[in-house]
Amino acid sequence: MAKDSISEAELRKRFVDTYKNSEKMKLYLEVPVFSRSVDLVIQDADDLSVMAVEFKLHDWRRAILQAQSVAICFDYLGVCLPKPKTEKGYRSIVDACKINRIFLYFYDVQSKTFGKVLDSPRMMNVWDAHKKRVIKYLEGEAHEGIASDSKV
Amino acid sequence: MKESLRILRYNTGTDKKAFVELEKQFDAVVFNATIVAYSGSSVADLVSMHKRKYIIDPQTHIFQQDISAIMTTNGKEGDTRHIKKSIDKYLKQLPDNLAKILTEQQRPLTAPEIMNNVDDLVAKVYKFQTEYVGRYIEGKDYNKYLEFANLKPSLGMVIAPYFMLKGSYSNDTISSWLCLDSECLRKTIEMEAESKEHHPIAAQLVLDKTVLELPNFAGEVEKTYSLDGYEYIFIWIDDFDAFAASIGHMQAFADLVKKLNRIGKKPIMAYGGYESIILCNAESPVRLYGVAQSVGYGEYRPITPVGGGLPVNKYYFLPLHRRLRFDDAARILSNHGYFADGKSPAKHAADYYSRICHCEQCHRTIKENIHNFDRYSDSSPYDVHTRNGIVKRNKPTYEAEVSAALHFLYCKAQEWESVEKQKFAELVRELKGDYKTYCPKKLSQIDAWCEVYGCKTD
Repeated sequence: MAKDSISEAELRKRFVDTYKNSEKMKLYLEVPVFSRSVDLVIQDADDLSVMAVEFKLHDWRRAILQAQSVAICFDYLGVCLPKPKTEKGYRSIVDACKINRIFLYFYDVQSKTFGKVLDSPRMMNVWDAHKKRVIKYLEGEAHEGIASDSKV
Repeated sequence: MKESLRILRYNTGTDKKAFVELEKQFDAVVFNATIVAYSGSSVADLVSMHKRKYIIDPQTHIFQQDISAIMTTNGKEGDTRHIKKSIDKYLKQLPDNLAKILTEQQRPLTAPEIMNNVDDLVAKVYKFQTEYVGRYIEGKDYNKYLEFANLKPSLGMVIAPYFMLKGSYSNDTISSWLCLDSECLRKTIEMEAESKEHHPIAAQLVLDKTVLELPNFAGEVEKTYSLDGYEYIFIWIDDFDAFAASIGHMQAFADLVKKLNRIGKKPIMAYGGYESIILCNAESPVRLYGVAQSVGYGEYRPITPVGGGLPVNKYYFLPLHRRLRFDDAARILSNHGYFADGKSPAKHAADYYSRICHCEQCHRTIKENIHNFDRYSDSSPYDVHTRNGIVKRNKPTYEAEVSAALHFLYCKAQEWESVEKQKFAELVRELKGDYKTYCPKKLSQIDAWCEVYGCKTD
């Protein structure tokens, strides 16, 4: 299967390469939140809202669960997955993301492009105190430049 | 002795702060024999200064464990695996004939091998529990003051040597280990009868969950432990959490406890959570008489040591009587509006104290601002090497760990207080109500538990 030919890290790297020059968002890799690490955090350069994005090649349900586990610290949650080959698979993922208020990027293995197929509403019940802690960490990373390879 | 014993397990030096602060909330402290053997002097200081009643778990199941479970390396290049120092030191206090099989042949012992040395084993285990710590205290400068003030620490009870009933054993093998357990207990009672000091005697029953369900297991246990001259039986079921166990395991455990109650014995959970504490209520149809819990790790513990895993911030969620990952606890509070803007942080804090927890540690941590709840999750990032490269994770700060440990113990004190004061039906009603409010997906498991333990409240 074509999607097997890249690793999860590679999928994320391609995503970052695609969006890193956007002036509208700052990207941070491997951001520690609670006891785990969020694959990618995107911060909107205008309103400073923060988004957690999880990448998975196979287990998309797990990607959704991982994103949800940090829901109270982020304004938006998202997942990035290889585009399914079947319409049924496609619909299942889109429906699950809709229900769980999660935005969705698909990676098209043939064209090697990313497409946002679903936007998500802003999360409810965000705990500002902990969100600020995440932002503070991001600011620290930005201040340190790329020393830790986190900010891209 | 009190009707139900609140017992604290002391595992490592990092438990000390919590242990010292909460010492008055517990009736006795239990140390593993290996810790006592390795750190006799520190244990002597601890019990002399802080807790007069102590118990030593003789851990004789060490003889049955696969050698890999008791070995370690110090991580240095070229280091070969060796028996853990604390175990090695303890083995030196036990019969040579038995210890040598472990250390030289590096294999677990059989029940007949131990039975051949049972007199020596019982004598040495008895001596270790009754004399080892005392010898260290006698060598201390403060000993004369303890003697003068008549404040010498005392052993709370002597536990007879015991052996584990493993799920992999045949029925015959289980019978032979039970027979050995019974013999060890009988001889310990005889030895105690001849001694000048009088310690209560306890047995300890250690088993895999699957053994609980063997046909007539409770009957076998009843036969094994129907001896006069002792009162308490510690029960340790490998990694057993009655709130999460299958109906079969729940029922089998209830049958076991009832059988022990019927022969006049007082079962104590060697590692237990609230599902054990609640059974210490005087009206409980399935009655326990004590529970031991640790400071630093969960209430349910596997018998064979397992890897520690990555450290995470945890928080004991009192209404659910569970230690949760901090993010799960925070999410529950968030979903119930505790961090919402509609009310002031002080009002939210007041709600938290009235509905979630009002312990001393929470007041210290949260004060009058609910957002300080975040302090339970104080952490610092560190690098973890994974197959996808280096990733960053958070590990709890020392202060956050201590706060969470203190909060946990204060919660335990609150649980004991309510179990001693309230009616059983009232406790069960509260338990169900809290699960309905904060964790409805687990409510059916709690209902099943209530059904088995004879507490129909509806």
